Amino acid sequence: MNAITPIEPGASVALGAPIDVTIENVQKAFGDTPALHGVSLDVKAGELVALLGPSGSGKTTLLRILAGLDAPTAGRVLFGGEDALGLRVQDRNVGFVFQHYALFRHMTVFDNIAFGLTVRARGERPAKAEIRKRVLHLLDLVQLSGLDKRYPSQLSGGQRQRVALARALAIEPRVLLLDEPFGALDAQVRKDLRRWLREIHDRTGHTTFFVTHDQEEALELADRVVVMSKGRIEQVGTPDEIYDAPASPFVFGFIGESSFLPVTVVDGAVQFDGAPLDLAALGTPSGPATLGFRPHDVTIVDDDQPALTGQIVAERRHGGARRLDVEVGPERHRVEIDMAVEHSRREGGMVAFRPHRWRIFAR
Amino acid sequence: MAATTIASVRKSSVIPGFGLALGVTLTYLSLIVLIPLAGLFWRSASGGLDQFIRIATDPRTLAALRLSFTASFYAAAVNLVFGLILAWILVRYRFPGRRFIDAVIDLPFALPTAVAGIALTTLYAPNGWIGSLLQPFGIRIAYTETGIIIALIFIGLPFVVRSVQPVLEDLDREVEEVAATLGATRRQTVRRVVMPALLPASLTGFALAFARAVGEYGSVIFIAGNSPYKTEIAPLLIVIKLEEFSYAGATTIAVLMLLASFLILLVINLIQSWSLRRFGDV
Amino acid sequence: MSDGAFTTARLPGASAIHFRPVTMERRRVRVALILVSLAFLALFLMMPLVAVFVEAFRGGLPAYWEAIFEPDAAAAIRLTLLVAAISVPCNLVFGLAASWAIAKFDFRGKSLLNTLIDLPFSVSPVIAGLIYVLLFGSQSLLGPWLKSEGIQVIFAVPGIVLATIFVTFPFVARELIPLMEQQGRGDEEAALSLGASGWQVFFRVTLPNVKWALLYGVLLCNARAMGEFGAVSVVSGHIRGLTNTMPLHVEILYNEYNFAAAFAVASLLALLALFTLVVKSVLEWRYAEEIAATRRH
Repeated sequence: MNAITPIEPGASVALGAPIDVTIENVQKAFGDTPALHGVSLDVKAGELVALLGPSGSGKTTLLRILAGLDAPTAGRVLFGGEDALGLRVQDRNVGFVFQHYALFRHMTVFDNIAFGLTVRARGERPAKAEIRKRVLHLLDLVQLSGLDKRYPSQLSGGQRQRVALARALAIEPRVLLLDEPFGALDAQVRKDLRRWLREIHDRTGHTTFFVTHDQEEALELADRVVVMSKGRIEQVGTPDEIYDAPASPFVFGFIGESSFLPVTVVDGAVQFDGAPLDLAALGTPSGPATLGFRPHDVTIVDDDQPALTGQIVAERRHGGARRLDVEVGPERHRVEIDMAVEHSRREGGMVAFRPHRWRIFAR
Repeated sequence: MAATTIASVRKSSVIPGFGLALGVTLTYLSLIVLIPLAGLFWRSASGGLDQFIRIATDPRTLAALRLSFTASFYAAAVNLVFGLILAWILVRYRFPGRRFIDAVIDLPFALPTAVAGIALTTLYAPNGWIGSLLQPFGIRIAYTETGIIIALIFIGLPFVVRSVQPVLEDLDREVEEVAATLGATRRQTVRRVVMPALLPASLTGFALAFARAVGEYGSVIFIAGNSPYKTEIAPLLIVIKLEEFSYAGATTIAVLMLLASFLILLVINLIQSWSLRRFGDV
Repeated sequence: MSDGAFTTARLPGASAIHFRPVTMERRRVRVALILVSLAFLALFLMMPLVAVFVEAFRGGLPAYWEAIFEPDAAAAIRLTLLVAAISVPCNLVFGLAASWAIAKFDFRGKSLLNTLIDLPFSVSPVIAGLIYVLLFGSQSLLGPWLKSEGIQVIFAVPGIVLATIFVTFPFVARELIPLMEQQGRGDEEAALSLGASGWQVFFRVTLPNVKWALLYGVLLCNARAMGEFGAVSVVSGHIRGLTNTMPLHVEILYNEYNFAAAFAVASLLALLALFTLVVKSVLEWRYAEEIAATRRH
């Protein structure tokens, strides 16, 4: 019963229109420690945006500022063109979902989801029957029909997170904010919920931010990915742009397995250790640069073509390939490369290879 | 104890010393606690039911029990309110002297009850520091039921604080933040989210303070006035019966009080197992 | 660019400076709650404590010393120390045995045993005294036999010790059991696998693991043992110089309207309480993890 079935198309969800969100030069410091250095971002109505970065990159701080749980030291946040920072959390009308669900333990699933409606001032509070209708509808949406009388302690992790999402959706938020929503769940449940969240988003159309440190999750789920590091935005782009055209060694390294080598660019061609590699670096100014490539984007070279040559220091099975740790050049830079399992290379032996996909970053 | 019985009682473990440890524990527990307590019940039963009922329904006994229970209830109620506030400020706020206050909360556990009793009496007597201030308004505290309640507030003060404090420390702030994002005011969050989470611990602390107050003797007898039917608490009546060599009287009241204590103990356990079932943990 | 960025786009107004986290009350609510708490504690805790010392020194220092060194007072102090010196070690040994059995083994009736160990906490001290009077007093079954053998329990030191042991019974066990349960059996099993004997495991692995909690429990046990009034009052017989402990001596002096002397002796007990609180707090601050996962009383 935990399996997540696809949502039927066409089922209606009552909602306010989604809004644009503009973040202008938002800065945040905790005491003397800066957490965000002037972050700017435009998000279109209905977009699903991933804030991706390692811990300490400022992504959760940004999310909490959007929610009004923290205030920026400087900067502006606009919801649909209106200043949002002047609004208290309670008036900001955002749906927030925490990694550890933050469900009210002493309330049933029903009361949890109804909470945001029942705390409204008398004049704005929907009638009891209306609240009931909406809660049951949301339970249906998150596929937990029939569990309304359960307590959170009687649910699985995945079910709890779905209750948390239904609770956030109940207030018809203008913006939906999810902080590592799948971080506490098992791998399989994560995958199911990921697909399911994408489907919910396609139906409800909220402007949605979700924080994650899992690049796979960000690339699979988001319309656009915002890669953050040390309180700055490194790159904003579609999953394809982020993966295929990373703007910095950090993004390249964060988005997937990668190796780097210090190289020199001379008139649009790459040289390593004084020898040309036959790799084009069009548009990169001449001078020192960094070559980045992924282990699986490497071709083993057997002829006399220009290549990188190094000593194999470790060899292990890695999924469908054989992974080698190779030390390259006089300074013994360590890189990882994959080769077909059929090849056999022993530790201590030499190997020549050339990346067939790569990125050059000027230094 | 025979080896076979030990083996049948415990599940297998490589750690030695089970027989010795459990033997010492059970022997000591029996000699110090169980046999003497059983003796009380046996003694009470040997007097017969008629005698038990006659003493139990004696107006003086009833007055003493009523006083003990009502005064304890009021004192525990005051401690419930202030205990929650104290636990709250100790856990949530940072202010000068916080650690000092955290430490002195336990004073009633450490200060001998007789010392507390004479100190409180000195303060609240008509010529005392506080009593003399209230005297002009015709308010008397020492030698009245109010005095008894004040002594019981003193000795029960730490229970609610110490029951609620760890629960409040473990309480997830995110739950309060989520309530705010859903539109709840701070007041609504405290009333509908925080307080229910503290309820089991608060009730446990209340019950512990109440149980302690019902049995309390040393801090009360100095300030109570001890006049029969008015300011005579049940434990004092036991002592008086004993001094009059009325063993039947003393045992009957003691049995009544013990049964009440066991009832409170049961209630505490029920609260905790209910909270465990409902919320997953205490 | 980051350095320059900090100077631009300051927030309009003061909302950032006065930002209040949603989990925090308004300032005036905070101040009010703290003030109410301080007033409550001052009235109910601090004033009685201060009163003890003020009253104790009301007659001046010489009168204070006289009250303390007067023979009956000195005898009461000696008796109190003696009673604590017997009852605390008894409960210490019991506490270790009980926590070893409960924390290191699974057996039927464990939760019942746990409940029974806590039982004395919920028994009125007066009843604690009464049960020993019923057991060993002149009217009891054992009474005639004890009398013929010339053994006096009630109105004598043995009765006082028994009553004190009863009321301080759970203190050490209560501190040790949760901690040892939380620590589990891994350390002991590892030591056994390395060839240690049972007693070696106990003295070199288990005991060092719980030493601060043990000290904590002993401290609380001792404070209660020296200060116990109700239970001891019932069994002691109030014989001056013989069966009067310090709390009983305080009562007698107070009832004789010898207030200065009563408070002088009481101030010694108050000092003991303060000493206990200080050491207890130091233990809690410094060894919080090694005392218990959650502080309970």
